[in-house]
Amino acid sequence: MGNTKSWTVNNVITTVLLSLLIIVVQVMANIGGAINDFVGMVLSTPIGAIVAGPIYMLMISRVKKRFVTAVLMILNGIMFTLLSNWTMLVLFSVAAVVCEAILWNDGWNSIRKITVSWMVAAVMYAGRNFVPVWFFWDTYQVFIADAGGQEMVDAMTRYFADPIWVTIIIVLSAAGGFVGSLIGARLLSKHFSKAGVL
Amino acid sequence: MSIIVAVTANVIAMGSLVLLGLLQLAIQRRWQFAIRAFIFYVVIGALLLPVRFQGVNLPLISEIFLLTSWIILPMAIVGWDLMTTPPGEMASTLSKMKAPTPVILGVLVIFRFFPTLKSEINGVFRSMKNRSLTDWQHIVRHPFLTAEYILVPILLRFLQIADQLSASAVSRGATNPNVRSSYYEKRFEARDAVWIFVWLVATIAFLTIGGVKF
Amino acid sequence: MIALRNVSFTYADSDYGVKEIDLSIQKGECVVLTGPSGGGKSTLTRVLNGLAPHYFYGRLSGTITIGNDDFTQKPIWEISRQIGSVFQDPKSQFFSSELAGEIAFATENYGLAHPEVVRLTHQAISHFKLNSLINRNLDDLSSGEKQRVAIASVYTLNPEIYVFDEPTANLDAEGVVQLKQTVSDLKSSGKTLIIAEHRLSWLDGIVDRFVYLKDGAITWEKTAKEMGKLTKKQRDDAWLRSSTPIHIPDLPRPAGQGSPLLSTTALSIKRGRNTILQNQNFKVWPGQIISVTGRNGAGKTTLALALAGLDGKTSGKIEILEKSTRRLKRRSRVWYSSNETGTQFFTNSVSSELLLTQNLTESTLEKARELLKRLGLYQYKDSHPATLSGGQRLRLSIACGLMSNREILIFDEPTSGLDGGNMNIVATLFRELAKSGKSILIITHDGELIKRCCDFSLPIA
Repeated sequence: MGNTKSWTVNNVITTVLLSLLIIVVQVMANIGGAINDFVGMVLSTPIGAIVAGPIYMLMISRVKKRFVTAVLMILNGIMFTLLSNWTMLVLFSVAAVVCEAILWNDGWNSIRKITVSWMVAAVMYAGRNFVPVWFFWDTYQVFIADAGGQEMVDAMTRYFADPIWVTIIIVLSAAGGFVGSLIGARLLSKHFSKAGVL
Repeated sequence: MSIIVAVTANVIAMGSLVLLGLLQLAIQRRWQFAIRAFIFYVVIGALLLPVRFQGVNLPLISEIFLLTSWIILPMAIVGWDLMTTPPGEMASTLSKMKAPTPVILGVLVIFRFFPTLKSEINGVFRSMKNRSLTDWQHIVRHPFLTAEYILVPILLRFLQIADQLSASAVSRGATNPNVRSSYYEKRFEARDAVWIFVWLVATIAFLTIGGVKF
Repeated sequence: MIALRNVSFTYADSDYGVKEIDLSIQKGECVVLTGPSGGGKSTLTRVLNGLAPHYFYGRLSGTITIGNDDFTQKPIWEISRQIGSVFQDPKSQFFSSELAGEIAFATENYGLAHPEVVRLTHQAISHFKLNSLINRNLDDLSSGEKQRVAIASVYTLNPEIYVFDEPTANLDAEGVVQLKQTVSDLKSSGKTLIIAEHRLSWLDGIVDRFVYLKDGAITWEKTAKEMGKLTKKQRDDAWLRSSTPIHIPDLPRPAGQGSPLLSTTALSIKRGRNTILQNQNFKVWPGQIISVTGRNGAGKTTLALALAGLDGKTSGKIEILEKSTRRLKRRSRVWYSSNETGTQFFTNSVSSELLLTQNLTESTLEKARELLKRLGLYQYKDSHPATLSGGQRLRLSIACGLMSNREILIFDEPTSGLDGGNMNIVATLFRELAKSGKSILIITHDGELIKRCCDFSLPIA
């Protein structure tokens, strides 16, 4: 089956296409969250993680190589860096390292390991909201109050700075990742392994 | 959040970044794009001024949205400039950097993604309609199955497309170990070096003026 | 020039493949690999162009020599410089949305110097008369134009040998005409051509020799002349399509007595802002099978999608059994089968695909079983639709239509990927269905199919 370590052209193309699909699904969930603060700030990440979970599960178990999840995270990092700032690249690089570490030794053959790595990925994805609030709050607050008004500041303080809400968001994101992986595992056995694509 | 720091501290610094971005577009003679970006910038600026200095609350438009647009504009200009670079030129730059062929193929595939997604989603929905899977009775009775009917065919089709694309690439020399060359010639010129330098200086100046806090 | 000696190939984790192939092909010869679906034609093309075993993994034995070179030991990029490959579906072969970028693709991969890449690309563009398409987005080209671009993109390397794997499977009638021209030019410039195909008539005048594969082995070879002498009975027994063009019979426009099943009055169809069809008036009676013809881009598929309530904005009247029927209602009464099967299946087995949204009574189960058996799909009833070959998927799509109980059925180029045997089976099934009082519209220019089952013809302009 060729070299098991190095990437084939097929691996590259599959990883890029499915990673982009995951990113599109998650962005759609974020856009859908614009209906109100609660949905946008609390629920959009878990929902995105549930829908994108099967795609992640399929991508990892199809390509069966190291650095697949890293490609996804780097693409995410680049996109969010363009949309907000460089700390996103740091955040997603950390996510890449952790997820790769989980999957390093044949993790792609283990539903459990893929599940754990996707849960981590979902929590890190939720982190894109926390990082600015936690590390740059002084300036961020002034700026938001300036433009978005006190309501916005309140909403962000409530959800992203209050330890209880932060915990709830993290738990929900992890749970979203778990449910997404569960559905992914089911689809894997119902469709993809039967279709001979694993 | 360095950009944000600066915007509250110094509107002029912000504006000069945008101007720099516009200048870059102008030099590439992308007039239409430059003009649109400029109008966008002026309109948002005009809307934001009363908010910023008179505390006016705008009806209908979310202020946070306006402000975010204002802030990411320099990024958006450069990012969009990059995104709309013909894939061929991007590939050319990468091959000049002696990137391995599979990496270049990966970048090329990014540009094939959106047209492919669009046509495949259309195909799936059309088949669903044809087979009465979009009837509301069916959707209400089987919400999870409906989601499966959308997701699974798209995923299987993407894998099929990935296979066919790879076969087509492999049979056209994609695994050749040579450094890839390019139809589009994009030489790394002195001008490019100057631009990198200009952006570097601007960023440093920007961060200094803005007073970054960590 | 090419010599295969005792070549066998088996795909990894399957026992499918080709065995003990002995085949010599002369320089400048055009050899067509034919035979029933699943006989090993595609696999043999892959062995020739090196994709098996370099891309499709498996076990290869025997020797392949080209000239005096042993090709069994070469890496695939060396093979591809001498053997150019063209595949079934042109739209999933492209890495670029731009014509020039796509045609340059191979020369870029080989790292040819920039001026050389440009020279070869422009030469290919003018050789294949693609200049007029140079500023169009590749996604918007017709299927025939796309296939021409795909051939141009391997022409740049100037290979001596071209291998085609069912190049017409996704082409419409006009695309096939264009392809014929291109292939015939390659032949007259002395290239060696190896083509795996079901549809044989377009190759009339180009092909020198037919090689018949069944169950992974070569059963016989015939020259074009010998092939032309086969009787219809002999061809049918070998599941072959006609090797000479069958003229489309002159059929009248649909006419009948009593109330029509489907009728349109002053029907116009818009897609987006473009008006595709205007003022269409026709009637279709129960029991009729009608071929829908018209040049490429005339709007045949647009008409079909609109009648089935799937796409397009219509004005004018569409009546089913003399009652004006709205878009959503039409969806449950008109069936449309596309020949693009990539996104048509939703379940995880052939049998559940057929029974999707059906009431599971004993009679539907029996009907499904019978359809699967007659279409040669019964042995795959538990397989995932994604594991089927292109021709098998096409038959499954047709089977779903036949199961649907709708009164009007439209099939879009249903024979493009079918071998002769399956084409006959499908034609018979259409006949039986019409007899039970349904109307069938078939978008096709396939003279063989039209001759076998159509009563009327509806030209679209």
